[in-house]
Amino acid sequence: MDLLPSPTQIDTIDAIASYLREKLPVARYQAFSYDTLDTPGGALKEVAALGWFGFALDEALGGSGGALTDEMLMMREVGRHVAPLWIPGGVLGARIAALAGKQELAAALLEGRASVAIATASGERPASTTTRSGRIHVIGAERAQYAVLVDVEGALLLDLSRLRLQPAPCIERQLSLHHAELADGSVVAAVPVAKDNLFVRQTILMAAMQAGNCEATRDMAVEYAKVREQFGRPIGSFQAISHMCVDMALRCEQAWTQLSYACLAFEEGAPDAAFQVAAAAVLANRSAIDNARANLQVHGGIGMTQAHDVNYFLKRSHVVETLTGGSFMHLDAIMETAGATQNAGPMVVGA
Amino acid sequence: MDLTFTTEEKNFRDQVATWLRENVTKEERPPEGIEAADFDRAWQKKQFDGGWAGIAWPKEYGGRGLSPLQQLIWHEEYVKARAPYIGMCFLAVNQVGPKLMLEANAEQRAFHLPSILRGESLWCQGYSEPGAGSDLAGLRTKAVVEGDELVINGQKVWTSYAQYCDYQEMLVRTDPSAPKHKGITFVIVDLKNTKGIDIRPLELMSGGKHFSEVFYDDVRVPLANVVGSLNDGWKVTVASLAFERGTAFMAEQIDMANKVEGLIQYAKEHPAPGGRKNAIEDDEFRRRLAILRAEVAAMRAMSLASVSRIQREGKPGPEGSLTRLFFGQLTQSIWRTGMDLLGPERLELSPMAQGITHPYLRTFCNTISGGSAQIQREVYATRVLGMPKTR
Ligand SMILES: Cc1cc2nc3c(=O)[nH]c(=O)nc-3n(C[C@H](O)[C@H](O)[C@H](O)COP(=O)(O)OP(=O)(O)OC[C@H]3O[C@@H](n4cnc5c(N)ncnc54)[C@H](O)[C@@H]3O)c2cc1C
Repeated sequence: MDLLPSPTQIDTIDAIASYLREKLPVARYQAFSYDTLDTPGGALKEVAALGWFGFALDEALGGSGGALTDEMLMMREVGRHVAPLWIPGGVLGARIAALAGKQELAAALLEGRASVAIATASGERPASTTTRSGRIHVIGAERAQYAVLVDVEGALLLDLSRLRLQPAPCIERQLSLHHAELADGSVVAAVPVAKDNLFVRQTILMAAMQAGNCEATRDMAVEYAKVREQFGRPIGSFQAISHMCVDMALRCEQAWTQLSYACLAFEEGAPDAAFQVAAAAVLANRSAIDNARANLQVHGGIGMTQAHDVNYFLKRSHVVETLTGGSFMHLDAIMETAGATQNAGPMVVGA
Repeated sequence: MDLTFTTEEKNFRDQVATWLRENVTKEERPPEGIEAADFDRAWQKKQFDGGWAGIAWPKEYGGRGLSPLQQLIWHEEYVKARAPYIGMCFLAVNQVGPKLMLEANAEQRAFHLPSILRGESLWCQGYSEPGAGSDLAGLRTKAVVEGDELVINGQKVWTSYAQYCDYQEMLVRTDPSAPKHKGITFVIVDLKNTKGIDIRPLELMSGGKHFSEVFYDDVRVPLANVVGSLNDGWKVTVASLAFERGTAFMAEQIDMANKVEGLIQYAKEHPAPGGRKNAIEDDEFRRRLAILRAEVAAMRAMSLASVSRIQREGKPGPEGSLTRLFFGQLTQSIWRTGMDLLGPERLELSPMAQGITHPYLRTFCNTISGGSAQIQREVYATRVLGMPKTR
């Protein structure tokens, strides 16, 4: 048993983190004017060249044959920088194309020749990958060619040019958002859950982004509490603030360690994997949102401004919560899956 | 202790309701910008002309000279009639007015109070600075006396609506050598007719240029604009803080019932995220909404208790800090519940002041502006509970 990353993994994480810090830092948003969208530019090809889209894809399918834990570690860094959602989009899209046997398409996505947005079922008649109908929201469709739609029954890769997309303002202003009616004719690749559980995969990747997000806000809050002075002292010297920061750290530990456990449980096919993943999703969502809120409070007035980084993390935490399938479905899953106490043996209430 | 209103109060309520029914415009309040400023002025003027501005203000300043309870009745009916948000008249009507009544000289009162009630002057508050937020008394914007003028140099920040306002109430440091609470002066600045003021609007993360940075470069203001005496500004501010924390938000407090009922309506009409039943039939949502209803009821009861105290003692009590703290937390939990109700729809930003996502983002400032939640707790802990001071 070892819940911590290996030395090789640590090197990889460092490389990923330094690329993101340099090329796609959260501060990129500060330069955006009111209606600038964070669309894929030159970074798409670079990220592809670094092999990010095929990290955990079999070598036979054009990937590097790594583990899901590798991808999870990568997405944690992506979350830490509020980095573009075409990164998880590309990871999921390339996998769907490859597993569906669309080698050309998979190669195009792995090489960053096209960008993949993320769709999510929404509205009163939410879309299903089985019926291939119903309503969806698509995040990041602007200047993207494809979108992934994943649910508990399967995963689809959609050709965006065959959907009638209606724009809507996104809570995270830098993201393009559209709604649409899912059309059967837009499906270019499909993978049923029996072949590959992309829903769990997407949940783990999104939860990893949440974990990175809540670690970043913890670090921002701690840093600010040390340098911002009021009443002649750093505000971190007031317990109201330092305790808030400790609670933020606790949420990070909960989210990340539970997610690491869940990811390994899933990869190893543990009987309680479904429960562990659902628990990880719930905690990651809650931690990211609550930390983002606490970070705003620690920053005071400046946290309310559009120009400061604080708000981007808050908005992203809500966007990504939606992309895990939403916390409610995972809460239900926790109660529907056996296994919470499976390893510990039967528990006697009141003993 | 009783809940009955006198015949006079009941009649008053009927009159208010009738007037509001006949006069509340169907037109939506523009959420921001100069259009909002114009709208707010016009609506304030209409209330004044109808005899409804400054219900509890003395008659000599253009008010009605009625009781705080009647003011509360007005707020209740106002909210019921879905009359527009007070907007940019908020500071002038709810805070500057009461402050000037307490602290300003006769000339200042006669000049400013009637025009505030008529909606002719919009005010902003120049207190916070980059280095002085929670620690307001740490402010550094400097003013020196030259002849019969004050010359101001420095910077304020987060000044709500500065770009639209006519006047600014301002705190400046006039004696740098005195202990920090002792060297501050309270002064009124005519924003429209004074040189050297540079207002740079800043955008809120929920959208809209709500507040500004304001820079002062050799800004000359007549000494006659000082309220109270030189170096006595802290006292002027503190004297009126109770109004700010106690009663200024009464209309918004009462309006929270509308917000919760709005969410309940939404829950009746929409499925719970990931669920097949409408959200209102989902036990979790049903109970969370029930708690919000209960808390809103308590908020109203707290407002009524405040008014009772003002009626009896002439001023709001120290419970103001608690009311403000509760208000901030409650608005945030109302909209957090709203976000959860939305499910994937939460991806969409609603138009300003409508729907759920915009108000959700907007309410984060309710535990920051006007004294953060931490500061409200600290004030209550030390001043009311008698806890030892940590600083
Ligand atoms: C929407 C909005 C509108 C505003 N409008 C105006 C306006 O019109 N005019 C105006 O003058 N100001 C205005 N403000 C400013 C507001 O009053 C300040 O933001 C507020 O007082 C906090 O100050 P700060 O932002 O400098 O935060 P800081 O004081 O730096 O606080 C940062 C954090 O430290 C905490 N903290 C500070 N001191 C202590 C302590 N002793 N114990 C425990 N915790 C502490 C705070 O609670 C906060 O969490 C507005 C702010 C907002 C958000």
